[in-house]
Amino acid sequence: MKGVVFDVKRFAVHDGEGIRTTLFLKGCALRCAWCQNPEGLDVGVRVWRRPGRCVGCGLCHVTCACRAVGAGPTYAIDPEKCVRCGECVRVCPTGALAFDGWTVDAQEISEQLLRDRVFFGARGGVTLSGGEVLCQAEFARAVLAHVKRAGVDTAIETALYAPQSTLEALLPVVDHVIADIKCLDDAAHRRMTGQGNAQILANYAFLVRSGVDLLLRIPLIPGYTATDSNVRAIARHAHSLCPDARVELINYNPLCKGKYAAREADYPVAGSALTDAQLEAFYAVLREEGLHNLVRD
Amino acid sequence: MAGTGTGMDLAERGRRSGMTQGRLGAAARKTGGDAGLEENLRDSCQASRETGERPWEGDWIERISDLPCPELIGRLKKRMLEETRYVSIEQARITTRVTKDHLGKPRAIVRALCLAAALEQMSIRIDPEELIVGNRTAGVRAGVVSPDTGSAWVDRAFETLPTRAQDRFEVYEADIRAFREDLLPYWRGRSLEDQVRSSLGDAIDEIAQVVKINQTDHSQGHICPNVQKWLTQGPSGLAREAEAMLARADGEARVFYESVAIAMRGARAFLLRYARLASDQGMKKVADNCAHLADHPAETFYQALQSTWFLFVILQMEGNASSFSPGRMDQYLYPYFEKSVGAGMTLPEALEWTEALFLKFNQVVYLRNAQSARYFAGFPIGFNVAIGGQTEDGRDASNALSYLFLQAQAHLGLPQPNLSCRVFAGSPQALLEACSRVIGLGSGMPQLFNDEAVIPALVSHGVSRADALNYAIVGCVELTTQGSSLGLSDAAMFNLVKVLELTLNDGIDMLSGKAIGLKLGTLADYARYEDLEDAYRRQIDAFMDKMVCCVNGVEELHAALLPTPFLSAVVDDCMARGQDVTQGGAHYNFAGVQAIQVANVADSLAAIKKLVYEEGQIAPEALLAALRSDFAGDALMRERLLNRAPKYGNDLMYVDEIGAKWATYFAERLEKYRNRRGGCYQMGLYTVSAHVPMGQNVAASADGRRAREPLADGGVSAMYGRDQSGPTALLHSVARLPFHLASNGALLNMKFLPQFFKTESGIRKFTDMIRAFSRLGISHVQFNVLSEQDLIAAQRDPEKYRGLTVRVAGYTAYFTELAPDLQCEIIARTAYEGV
Repeated sequence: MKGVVFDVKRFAVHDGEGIRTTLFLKGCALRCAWCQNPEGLDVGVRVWRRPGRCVGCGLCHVTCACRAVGAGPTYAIDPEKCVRCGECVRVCPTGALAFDGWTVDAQEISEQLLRDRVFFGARGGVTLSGGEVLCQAEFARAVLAHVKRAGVDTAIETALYAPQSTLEALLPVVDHVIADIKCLDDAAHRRMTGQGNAQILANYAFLVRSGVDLLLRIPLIPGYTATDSNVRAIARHAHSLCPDARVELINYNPLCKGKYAAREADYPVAGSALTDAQLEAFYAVLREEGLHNLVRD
Repeated sequence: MAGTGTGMDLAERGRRSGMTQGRLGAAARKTGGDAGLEENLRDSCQASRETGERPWEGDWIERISDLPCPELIGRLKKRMLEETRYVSIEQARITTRVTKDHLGKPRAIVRALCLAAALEQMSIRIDPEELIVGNRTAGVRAGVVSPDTGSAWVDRAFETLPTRAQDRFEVYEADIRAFREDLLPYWRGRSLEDQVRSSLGDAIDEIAQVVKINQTDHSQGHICPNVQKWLTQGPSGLAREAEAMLARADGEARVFYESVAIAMRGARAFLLRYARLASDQGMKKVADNCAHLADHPAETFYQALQSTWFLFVILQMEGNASSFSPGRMDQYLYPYFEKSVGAGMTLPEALEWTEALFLKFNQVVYLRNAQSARYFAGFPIGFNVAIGGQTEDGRDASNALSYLFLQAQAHLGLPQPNLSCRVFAGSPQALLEACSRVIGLGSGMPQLFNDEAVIPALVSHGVSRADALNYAIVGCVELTTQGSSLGLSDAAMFNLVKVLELTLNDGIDMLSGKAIGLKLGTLADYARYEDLEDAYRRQIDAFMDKMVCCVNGVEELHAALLPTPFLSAVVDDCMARGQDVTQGGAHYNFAGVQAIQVANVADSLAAIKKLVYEEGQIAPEALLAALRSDFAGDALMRERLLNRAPKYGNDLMYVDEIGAKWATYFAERLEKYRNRRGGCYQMGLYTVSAHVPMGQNVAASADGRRAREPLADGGVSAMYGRDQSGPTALLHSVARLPFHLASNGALLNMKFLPQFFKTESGIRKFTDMIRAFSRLGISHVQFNVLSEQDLIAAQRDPEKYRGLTVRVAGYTAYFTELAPDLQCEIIARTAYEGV
């Protein structure tokens, strides 16, 4: 069973309980304007340039047989011409050029994910993230099944945009689900992410009913989701399904701007991260709506 | 209360009083743990109430961690740090006069008389509010000159002391004159330093680019005395013991016992002088303590703290050396603590006295020569205190004092004592959490030692299991038994990176052009990688042989010139054998040599193996030319070496095994030599700050390091910025090194952002990491919590900080790859959260 991934993050300390290793799967059907892992959107693999590493030696330009790498000083890569042969990646002396993902075997990557088992302790384990885990659900299931067989805790981070049957098929090998709800208004959701939220909300309700250990995360993106009315609406919805729902607010992370620059793309979110006081005000909204099982890391 | 108890019955008491359960219970409650443990806690409280065994009840760990810093301690600390540091020649005058007066007598007797005279005549001072008193000079943090060990360098450097780059001292003009006119002429040619120079100077110089021979201008330190013996016998008891042994002894031993008796009588007089001074100043309790301790064993916790301090002051007066370490203070002071609690001592009182002692540990600093100050920057004197660990039957040894010491460190945040915590599989969660909280404050302490790695390493080097279970730490990270070793842990430092340079370049130093190694060819001459390895091995062997001759020669001179009777009285088995420690009287006699530096050797050889021999990407001639010219005109070569070859610290077997292989080779060969006292040599893997000056000796290396740049820091750390796969990968790499052979000590530095320690869940994750560190069998780790300034430095010098990551949910970024404005945001956040 093969899959396409774009990162293995060891010592992940914000992707569930304890110390974890997180595998990032490529491919996502949503197109959230603020996406912090743009290299995870497309399931295909392409070459990109890591910021700050390029010393302008031009070896990539002279090496490329397809003339896909332009001349200096930018050495821009034309995705139309590039055949992903990787020759430029091999000759780059600084490691500035790299593929933004690779194909792996489920068994093999599982072994790699278990490498840090000694650190997981009683609480930690393996998390699958993305992209969207559910876009490569069969691969995800194979990986998680392997991890579970080894007796290690499993979690997924998902935006829930997939058929319920896909999600359901995964649950037997998942100990914890960390699920995003970004926006409760369907039309607004479509504007922000390119898709409506009916499927997402249905899946969330399904997860609540399923009894799986569930953490709801609400990303707070200035100019998008970080409004009193949106957070209140999500909170009310979550409370109506389960008054004891565990909920965490995720502060906007501007650090990914660098990735957009590297991909020669513009990043649409202006603002900066919310201050502690602003964050606290949103937590207050959750409490006002009756939620009490709040997570704040 | 003579003979309050041994380490064993102390541990026994801790167990009987049900503390282990209470501790776990408190931990569980603090972290919202399961009901079973809470029940345990209730049960144990109930039980203790019924039996009346526990000195207090319930949540004592929390009560200790809630104790505020005593106001008085804040005042004393401020005053101490404000006082100017001066060079002092007061004791030097006494030593010189007494030595001249007793020419012809055995050295041990003369040295004892010198110490006794200093103890009786040095000016002493007690500050009005002090709780623990005593110092080796009237001024605090004075730089004490010892002309009998090293005077030539003082002469050369005297005027530079107030202005030199590292570890400055003010000087009095009159002292400089007196030193040059009255002291220096006598010691010229007689001091240890001059004797080493005249008999070993050429041999030391010949290998100086590769090996730094230590202990050439000061007396032996890095020793952990038998404090318990001092506490229970005191100076009078030890003097009586020496006199009794003297009556039965003959030959050399008579001189030894007589010297001990003289030194101990001097010590008694010293304590009585403090008693009188305290009494004159109306400080009754201090006066009573001092007077009592002059003639009796310590009885109360307060007295035991005072007694401990007097021991270390006097040790520092006898041997103006680096590091005498208290060792397992939470173990041998516990019986006193428990008894005093029973007699009504409160926790705030215990904490205040403890902190008064901790302040005292900062009042003795060590005057090093300029070179040594760069190798060991920041006046480290190394009063190393080891808490936690195991009892001699392998159970958890931590007790209330372990937590009290942590709290004292949290309050004071000073460089001394060098607080260490021993961890093992059975360390209670509460102890690890308490350590993590203090680590998060950023003082770098406590550093952690791993019983699971250290104990087997000591046992395999001939230490008995019981003594290994009771190990302590001296100096920074050197391992020792408690009270029975002369470890000579800093005999020398061996620069393996420099030897590799010579191996690549036909024995010729690339920086100076001088031929200093064997002529075995250059990189271009070695047809196979194995040929390069053979040549490297032969170069290493040749320097090791020469090094051991030098170290044994230096030891010979220590034995002849610098016997230390006072110290010998508190190191087992000197008294039983009638033999000074410098002569081999200790039960264990080791000598330690540091192998420097695994990361650079591994990275360099991996790059050569892969890029030159396996892939042919780089021609050997081109690499040689680049290294000789420090990459001038070939920047891309450096980029390739940096980025196209695996680097130690990323959990990559290919490169990690190269590091392990050479550390193993060095250690196993080293162990075959015998030191002058009959013990074996053993390897250490640490540098403290020596990676900077040692790096200045080394030309550009194949790991992409530029000429004269520092080597990897610490000892087993990765080269800065090259471990880019996170802390778990680093620890896996480090764990591949042969810690069972690094019985002299190893040092790993890790960096964390302060944010990590701000939440309970962060603290818990940190303890998970500590447990993994223990299971992986790494012997030491210390944590630097990065400050705002560190991040600004990372912004300026990204190459050195490439591995520094910033973690948020579902996302990790390399700090140095963030745009400047984003870096500023992180810096601002760090600064904010650091408040």
